[in-house]
Amino acid sequence: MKRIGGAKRRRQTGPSRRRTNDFNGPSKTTIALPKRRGATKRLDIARQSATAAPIELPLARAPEVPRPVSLVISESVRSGQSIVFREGDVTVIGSVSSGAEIIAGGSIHIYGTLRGRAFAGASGDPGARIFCRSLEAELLAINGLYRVADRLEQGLRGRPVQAWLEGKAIAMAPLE
Amino acid sequence: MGKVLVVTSGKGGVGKTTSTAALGAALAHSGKSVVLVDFDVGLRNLDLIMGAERRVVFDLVNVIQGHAKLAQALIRDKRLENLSLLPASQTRDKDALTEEGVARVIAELKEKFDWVICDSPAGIERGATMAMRHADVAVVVTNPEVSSVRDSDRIIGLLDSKTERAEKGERVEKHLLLTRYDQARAERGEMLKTEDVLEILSIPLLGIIPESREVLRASNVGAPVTLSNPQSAPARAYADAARRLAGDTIAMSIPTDRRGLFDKFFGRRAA
Repeated sequence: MKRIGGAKRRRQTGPSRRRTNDFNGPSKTTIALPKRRGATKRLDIARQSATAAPIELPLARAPEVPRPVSLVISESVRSGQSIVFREGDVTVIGSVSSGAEIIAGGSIHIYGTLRGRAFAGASGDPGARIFCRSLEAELLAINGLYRVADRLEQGLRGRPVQAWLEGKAIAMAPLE
Repeated sequence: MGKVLVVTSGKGGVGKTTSTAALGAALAHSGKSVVLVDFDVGLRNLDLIMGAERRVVFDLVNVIQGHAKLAQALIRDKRLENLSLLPASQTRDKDALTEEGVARVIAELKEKFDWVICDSPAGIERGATMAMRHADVAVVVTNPEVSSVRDSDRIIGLLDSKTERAEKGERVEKHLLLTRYDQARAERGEMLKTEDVLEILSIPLLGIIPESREVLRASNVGAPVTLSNPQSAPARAYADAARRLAGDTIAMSIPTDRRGLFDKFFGRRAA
């Protein structure tokens, strides 16, 4: 698996990306630098729009389409790391290791092997899906409904798979 | 300015200390000046493997706390004059390692040596994070076995987030050292295959060290395996790995011990 250099990481920092990798469990600090950069960037944008708003309002009022948000991670997610992005889709260009987890408000796309846990539609979205290039997952969850590794169909193991919600159950099919 | 290398693994007992000693001795043998720093405060072992336990006066904690000068704590190896050891304290614990203190000692060592090799303790707590903090290069020691692979994966995640380089937005150069590898057992499916480990960890392979009784024999006589028996299979594998670390390109192979007639008839007893 090729990994892409650190410079690209800055772009991945979405609005509320939280990437935990802490000794005290997956709820504390973040990878310091990318987050800090993201945070300052966000502040600047907020400040700009706050000051610019009164002048530009008459022009910009008409189309009010919410900006779609997604998070792209251009490297593997390692054991113990947790990617939390409740605003939208998460794409991982790499693998998700055993012991790692992705929590997304929208769908999850993994261009590698999914060995960890994937929680799609975590903010309540029954239409969210999980896609991966090779399925070895520990757990799949969509909109709060889940399936553990034991309950995955054996025929799908190691294959490209998508998972979606059909009523109250997770349905899965190969992507070939 | 020297390079700082951390030998780490997450899991205990996979061969970090053995690898530190063997790689350090091999690099020193090639003419580089090398210092081995034991970060396993409270459970120091590197001095035993290096056969220097009777010469320890001051240790890393003494230097960090300013009770001794670096030059007083460094122990020069008797076999290789450009190989030194900075032992850990056996009586203190990892809390004695302060961030500023470690930074100061590593900076000082980098001035003096070509390679500063830090032997990390097992785990992901303070001792391990302190050992990897200033690393330029990391050797991740892994056994071909699932729990070791998962722990290594965790350590790689930490190398990408908790090190000084990661916080500056740079990368720590990472290498995989597969130790205690048994070709026959891997072929029978009793061990993970090299390709499986590489696929999961996705970092470049530095070397494959075969399981060998030579390793235990070497530690019992207090010598790095690359010095005690340079012709043995693990010693040759470590020597190749050290050359790759230094930048040479060498084809990957798994050296084997020549087996005597006795071994052929009676099988290989555990070391």
